[in-house]
Amino acid sequence: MQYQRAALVIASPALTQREVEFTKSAWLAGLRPDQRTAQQMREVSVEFPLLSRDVVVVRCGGSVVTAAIATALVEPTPQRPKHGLLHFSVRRLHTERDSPAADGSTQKNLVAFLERLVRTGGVIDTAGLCVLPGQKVWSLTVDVTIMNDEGNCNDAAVWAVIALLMHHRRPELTVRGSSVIVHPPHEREPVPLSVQHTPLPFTFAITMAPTEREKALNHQRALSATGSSSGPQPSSGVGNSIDTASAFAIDGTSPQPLGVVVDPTTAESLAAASSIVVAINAEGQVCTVVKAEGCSIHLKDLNACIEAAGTLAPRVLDLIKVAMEAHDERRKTAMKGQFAWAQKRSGVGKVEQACVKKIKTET
Amino acid sequence: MSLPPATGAVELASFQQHVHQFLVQNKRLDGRPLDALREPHILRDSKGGDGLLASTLYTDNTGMCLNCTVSGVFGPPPSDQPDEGRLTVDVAAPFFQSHSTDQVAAALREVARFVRSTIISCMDLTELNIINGEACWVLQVELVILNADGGLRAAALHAVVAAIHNMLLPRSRLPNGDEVESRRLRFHTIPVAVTIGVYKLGASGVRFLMDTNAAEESVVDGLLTVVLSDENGIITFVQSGSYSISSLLLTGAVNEFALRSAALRAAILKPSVAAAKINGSKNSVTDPHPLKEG
Repeated sequence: MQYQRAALVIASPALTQREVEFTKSAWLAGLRPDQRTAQQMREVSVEFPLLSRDVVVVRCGGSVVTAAIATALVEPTPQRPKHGLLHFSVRRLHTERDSPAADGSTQKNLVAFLERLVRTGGVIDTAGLCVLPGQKVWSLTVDVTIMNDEGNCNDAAVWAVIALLMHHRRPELTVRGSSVIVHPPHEREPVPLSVQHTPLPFTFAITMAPTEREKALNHQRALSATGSSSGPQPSSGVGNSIDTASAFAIDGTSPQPLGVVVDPTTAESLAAASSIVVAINAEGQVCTVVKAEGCSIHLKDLNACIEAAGTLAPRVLDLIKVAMEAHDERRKTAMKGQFAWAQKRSGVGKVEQACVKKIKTET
Repeated sequence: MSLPPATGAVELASFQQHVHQFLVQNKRLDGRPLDALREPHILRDSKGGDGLLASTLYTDNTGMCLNCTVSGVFGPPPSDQPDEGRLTVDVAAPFFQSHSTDQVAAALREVARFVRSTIISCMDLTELNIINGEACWVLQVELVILNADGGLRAAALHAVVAAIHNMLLPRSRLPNGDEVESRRLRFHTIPVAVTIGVYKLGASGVRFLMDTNAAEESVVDGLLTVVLSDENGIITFVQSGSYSISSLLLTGAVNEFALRSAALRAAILKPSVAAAKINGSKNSVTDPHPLKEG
């Protein structure tokens, strides 16, 4: 990890404007400011830092997002007595770069997106969280904290929520009539949540409007034509035909402007003409597409984004699964280490282990 | 998010089963084919007075009724964009049952956010600027949903577009005495929107319902809202729901709407013939049964 200063320099509007102008110039030259390719993401890591299964940290380059989940048995709402409850809250650590007048609109948009993706999209079937209709249902509360924002925080937040829902375990229940027995983890193994499918969103930045991109391509074609005509060998013409249909085309002979870039940083988000969020599940199907503001785009750009997200989603899903397996191994090692003292001594009386999580037996 | 359908005395589950039976036979409740749009009728009133710049009443033939009023006041520009004007959108639905207030409020907030972001994408807000960094026009759009029958985002957007297009900002005077010349607002592209429902037909396939009503929105498995520009470019695209769609189906649905977008745009921008009658009498502005042309 690169060295981070303790106090970040306050980015002035002039510096932000210079970054935006540099980003646009780099896009016209077919490059990105941090030398990534158009479809390349920053380094993504998923980590479960605690031994319990309810905290996750997702890093995407310099953006860090933490998510925590809590489960509780509560009484359902009267309107929907057979459905569990799902709550999402998003917080953002305040930095010096944030203006005091900044409202929580980005957090509200992210909460609305999570509600639409997880609840309406059917990631968690809320009917499966019902224990006793009208009396007891499970309530899931997911708390997302954006620790550092260097662009693409919304995607990292949703990846954190999906990883958390896949990895979390709730206590097992025994229902006898109207009495519910909640078994602590040392009595019975906790039960995973029923996750129907795993949509993973990816944000794409549209660098410029399609009409402006075509103008830039025509300009470059004219430049290359005049260059070849004024060259020492006028008979050898430039035979490369520029394919305008491909938004991700990177030609080695003459650099073309980038059309669509994935995983935009903060400067790229400010410089972009528009942005698209595509959520793809493990089978490569589109769960959610959101293109809200900015210029109008072509349908082939949208299809290019869907195809690019289809190739990126399995990688992030593999990262999540590898992190889950590594965390399970770490839990097993820690559990063995807890009882290593018992193998060295004999004749010691049995001591009742206090449960880490205080879960009441409700009758 | 959709507003719940008004089923009257019928239970919602029975009503949904009734709609399911129609959709299984590739029929709809109101007799439309699967790819037909409801024709909007928009009445305009642009008399002005008391800061009111434009007023439109949006109806179609199945009961959607929206009232949109646009007011203009002076105000300071936003601090991060000092050369732009401001646009605020408020949506109210006073006639809905109170047992689902939070659901209705969330849906209305989403509609307001959708309309505002789409209008900002199609209109240059620097036209509302008066003095850079000090004074600008603040357009206040107020939408009152008198009756909702599905496709709320599309209907709200059409009502606002009909009100703001070619709207005259009058000649005014700033509080410090400066004269502000009159100005006519223009869109650089006219957006048209549709709500497309995705209905999963067992294991054999999927059906797309163009321009869903409230009954169909309560039974479909997914919803698309597509906003197209003059050249059929995608301005806004929102797809959500429990059914995952492949990109080929998405492309087909958008192209199907692109074939009908020109006729819909003409219907939105058509000047209403009954405007002369409305100018004569004030009471007929809120007439829920507008006169049909022809």
